[in-house]
Amino acid sequence: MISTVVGKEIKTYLRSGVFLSLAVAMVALAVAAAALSTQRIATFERERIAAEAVDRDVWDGQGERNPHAAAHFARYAFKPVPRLAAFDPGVTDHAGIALWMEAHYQNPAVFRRAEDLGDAGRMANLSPAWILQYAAPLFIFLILFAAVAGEREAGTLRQMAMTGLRPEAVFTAKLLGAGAGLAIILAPALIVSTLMTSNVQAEPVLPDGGARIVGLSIIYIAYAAAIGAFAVGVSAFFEEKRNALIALVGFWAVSFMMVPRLAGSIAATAYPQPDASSLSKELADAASAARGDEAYQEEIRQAVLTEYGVETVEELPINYGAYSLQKSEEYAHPLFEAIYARLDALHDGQERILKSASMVSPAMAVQKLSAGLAGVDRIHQQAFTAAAEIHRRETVKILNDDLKLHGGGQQNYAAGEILWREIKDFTYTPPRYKDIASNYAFSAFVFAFYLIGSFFFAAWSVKRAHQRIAS
Amino acid sequence: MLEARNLTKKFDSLTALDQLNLTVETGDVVCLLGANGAGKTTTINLFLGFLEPSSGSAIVDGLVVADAPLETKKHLAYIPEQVALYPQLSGVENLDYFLRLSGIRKSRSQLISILSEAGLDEEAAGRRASSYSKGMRQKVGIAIALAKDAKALLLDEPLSGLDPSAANALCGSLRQLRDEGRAILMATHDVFRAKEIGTRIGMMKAGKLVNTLTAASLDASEIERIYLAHMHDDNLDDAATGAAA
Repeated sequence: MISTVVGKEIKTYLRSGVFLSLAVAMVALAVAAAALSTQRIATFERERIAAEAVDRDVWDGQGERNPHAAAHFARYAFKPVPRLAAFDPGVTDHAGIALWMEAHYQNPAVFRRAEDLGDAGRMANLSPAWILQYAAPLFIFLILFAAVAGEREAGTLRQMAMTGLRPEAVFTAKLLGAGAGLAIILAPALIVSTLMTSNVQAEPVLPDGGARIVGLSIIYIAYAAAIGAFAVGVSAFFEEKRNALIALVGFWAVSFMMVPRLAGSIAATAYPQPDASSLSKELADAASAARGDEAYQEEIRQAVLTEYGVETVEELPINYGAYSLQKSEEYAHPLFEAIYARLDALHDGQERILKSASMVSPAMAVQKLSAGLAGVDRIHQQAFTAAAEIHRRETVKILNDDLKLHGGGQQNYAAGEILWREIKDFTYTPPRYKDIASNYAFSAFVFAFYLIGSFFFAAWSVKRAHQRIAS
Repeated sequence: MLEARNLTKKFDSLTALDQLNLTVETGDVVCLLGANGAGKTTTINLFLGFLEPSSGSAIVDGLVVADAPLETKKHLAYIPEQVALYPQLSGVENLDYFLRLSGIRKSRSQLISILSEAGLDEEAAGRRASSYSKGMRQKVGIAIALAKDAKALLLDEPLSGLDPSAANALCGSLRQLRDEGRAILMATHDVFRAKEIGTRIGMMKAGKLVNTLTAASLDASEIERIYLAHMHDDNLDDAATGAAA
């Protein structure tokens, strides 16, 4: 019986002009999104690889100079973009992709692509993930609003009930039929966008890319199922399909369009981002803090004199200036960490508001999970900046140590290409998902609640519709 | 085949059906006449199991509907005022679908033959139901009843809105079904058609069966007079009952 209903649903979908138009529109949207997204990520990667090569050449070819001057000259850490960013770019356009690993300063990541896009930036959001998160639910609602209400209005639900079909069978059949309809409308769009985005010219950055793809597939299939079940439930709840359509489109407008934007505005207002100049001043103050701390300067001077068993700095077998610079670097580390921890706390506050909003906007929960799995969210951005900072500290130490050990009392000590080549390129491996999974627990919980809640609601609603069949 | 025993249905303070006692035997066509809200459709819904009785019982082939709603449906065919079909499916596909849901499988040629028996030719049977007239839809409804080999038919205002030719065709089909030994309970406003195909005519008012007539014993105008008397003047109830068989 259930297969009979599912077969009928598929047949009626395929004969519906509205359904076929929606399927074509979905494919067209998916192709456009995949093309834009693929092109964007490919450009990112092309530019990153070129910039890295130039950075290496410039570094190696800087000629002979004081190692500390070289540390100021410094290098860049470029963030590799995972292939999955072609599917879900997450914060890629809005987070800095290059970090200047300068001596004394822990700089923030810079070069945000969104800043360069102007009005075109709006289009840059168009990605396969966005289509699935925000546009697909509207398509699902437009397909399924009449799933039960239409049958009730037309009288076919009554005719079905006359055959002795139980409410549970009607529920299962309607959900499977809806699933078949969604598969028809979403599968071509998914296949096209997957083929297009999987060919993106980018390095396989993520160490657990395969598992993440499986995770993304599960999330989006479950998401479509939850939205489909909810639509069937709403369709069964209303007597007339027109009312079901109004309710579903209204829900989409509020939950999928209004709430995310409103939540973003509230988060930005409640936890305002410090302006660039004040952040810059704070970082500069941290960088020079050691110089103003006379007690610290005396402490490190005494320590090094004791270490080498001498009375004066001039007697030291090392370059005291380099030693002092390195100690000043280390003095600044906790200060930088405090500044960035405060920024992180601010972003955590913003995220708490967004997480709370996800309780009334399933797309926001999925957005969080999807960006995390694609390796393009704030957690991964933080991992990148942390890795870059470790690399910066190591690089500066190598250069300062070289000056300390080889500079002696020379004012004009200069190192050359041999030292520059000792400085390794920055390489970054994002964290494995299982190691950061706890960051997504809340969103996963909210999503699971939606999934289970949708099915319970649909089951209750279809049963109720069946019981009211006489009216 | 169909029996109502003290069948009562209340919706809050409203008694939609009050102590109905009625029997429809095989080969019997009972037409229920009455104004809107008289309880005709409620009676049919109770036999279909779409409503739970407040008291009393609806019985189909010896089974109490409330106790065996699925089993009793196997013996029933239902034809509403507007037979509901899927507009994207053809007549054959609609028939096939509803039969499959009832656990009955027929070949395409068998389905076409059944539709033809119900009065729908092969060309029409292959067309999408979106192009069907009301009469053609009724024929698909009759075809479902034929294919299910239902022992009893419940019809709710099936003649409303049909043109005379379609109404004649439907009445012809119902007479045939009656002659084949099926029990038929039909709610209608049409006194003349009720006289034409009914074996008995029940008159309902405010949830009560106020009169039952043997159709053959009276002519149509007399039935109409009694019916109108019931509808317009409570005082005539007793007088009209005197004409009952």
